[in-house]
Amino acid sequence: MLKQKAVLLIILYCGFQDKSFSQINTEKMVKNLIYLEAFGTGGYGSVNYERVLFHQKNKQYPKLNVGLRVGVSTLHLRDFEGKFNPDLIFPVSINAFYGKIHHLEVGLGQTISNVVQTNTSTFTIERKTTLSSNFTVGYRYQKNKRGPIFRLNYSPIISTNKVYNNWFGLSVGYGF
Amino acid sequence: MKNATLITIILLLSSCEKESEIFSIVNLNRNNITVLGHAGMGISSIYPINSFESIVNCLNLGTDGSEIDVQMTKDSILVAFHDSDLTTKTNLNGLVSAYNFDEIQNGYYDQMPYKSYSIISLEQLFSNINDLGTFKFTFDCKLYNADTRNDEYLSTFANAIVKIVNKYDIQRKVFIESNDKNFLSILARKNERFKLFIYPQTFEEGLTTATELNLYGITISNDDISAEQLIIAHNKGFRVAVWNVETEQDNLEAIRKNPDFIQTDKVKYLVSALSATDDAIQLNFPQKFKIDTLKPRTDSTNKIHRIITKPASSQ
Repeated sequence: MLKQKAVLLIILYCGFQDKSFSQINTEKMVKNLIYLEAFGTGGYGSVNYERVLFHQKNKQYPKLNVGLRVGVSTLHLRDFEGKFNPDLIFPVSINAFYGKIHHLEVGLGQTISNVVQTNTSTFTIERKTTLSSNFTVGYRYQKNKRGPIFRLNYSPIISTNKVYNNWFGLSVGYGF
Repeated sequence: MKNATLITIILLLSSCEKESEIFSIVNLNRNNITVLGHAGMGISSIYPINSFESIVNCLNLGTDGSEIDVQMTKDSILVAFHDSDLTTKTNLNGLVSAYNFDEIQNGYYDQMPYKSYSIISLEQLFSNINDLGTFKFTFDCKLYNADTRNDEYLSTFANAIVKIVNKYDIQRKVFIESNDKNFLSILARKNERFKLFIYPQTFEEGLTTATELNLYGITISNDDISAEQLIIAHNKGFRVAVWNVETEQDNLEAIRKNPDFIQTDKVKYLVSALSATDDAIQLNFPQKFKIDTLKPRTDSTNKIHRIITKPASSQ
């Protein structure tokens, strides 16, 4: 009996919550973001697309948003012998950001890198693919409507050989 | 009207094209400046200085060669590394001289994410450069924490240099610099034909030491020598190599002082800045030059720069 009452209370509470805030948020949240990042998880710079996958509805600001970010970057277009042989770096991460316009952002992901390396035995050029972990924590400026975005993050990169590079990223872009 | 605007824009753009300055170079190096990369591609490159990638990239851009920072391991192997301590730039800690080379080989530069660069020995470097004999190298010998009164240590270091230079038959292509007079004296005793440079704090100190030890030249920061002082050094028969040449402006200033060698951090720029001068010399005095067909350089902007050498009769 007690259990039934509790369930009823929860349902009523949820219904009330939904009703009371349903008028607060009917705005359309931007879903697509494009930004250029200096340094950051791409290494020295990257072009990124982020799709907002989750947006907390029916709640007053501040709200939680979750996006999937995919980027592309390079360190060199030519190898050290001068041939066109670009390093390819693809940072992928899930970013959660919480706020209204000024957000706290936390992200976690993997970076796939396919880069030119020197074989240390033969000293010839070879390509090597590795996965590195990336983590970001920082600030994001983003409105819920079309407009500029700005991010400033601490974004360390942890390589498979356990090298921990302290790294920072600065992004400027546009949400639409 | 539209056409007129377009033509004006094109004319304006074409007038903005950078003109290459032709320099009038007077020095003891047959009036030619030897272009060396500073530890490869220099301090502002993404490649770590003294790495294989940095040095080979520098050689592929049409330079005459590269300066290399040289240190010796516990087992007397010469390695290319700049800092006194491995900690800052690599995954290892402490002095190079505290490690055997096989331990050093487990080390790598760890400043750059996604890429790994090895610490290399001179043996590894020279055995993997095509047409090694066409390039020049300056060994900047680092004697960190060494007891410079300990002739045994200095002699072992000098023997290692003699060994590598003889093995690759590059004596005429190698210049050796140090800030230690005793080490330079030992090197001179090992081989009187070594081209030795003092690396002083001041020009006056350099001139005194070079005179005292009868050295080949002086290596000095571009900021610490004037054009007039360079003439004084030349008049006394000493070649001058300048370093600390980081910006485009530094390179132009350095060229105008007429040094014999520039160790530049802007490799591409210096090669390009001197190419017009070399082209002009070749056009004006074609009979005095021959083309060295050993190795066409890969840099497209370089054209004939750096592959010009004087005939043997004029040497």
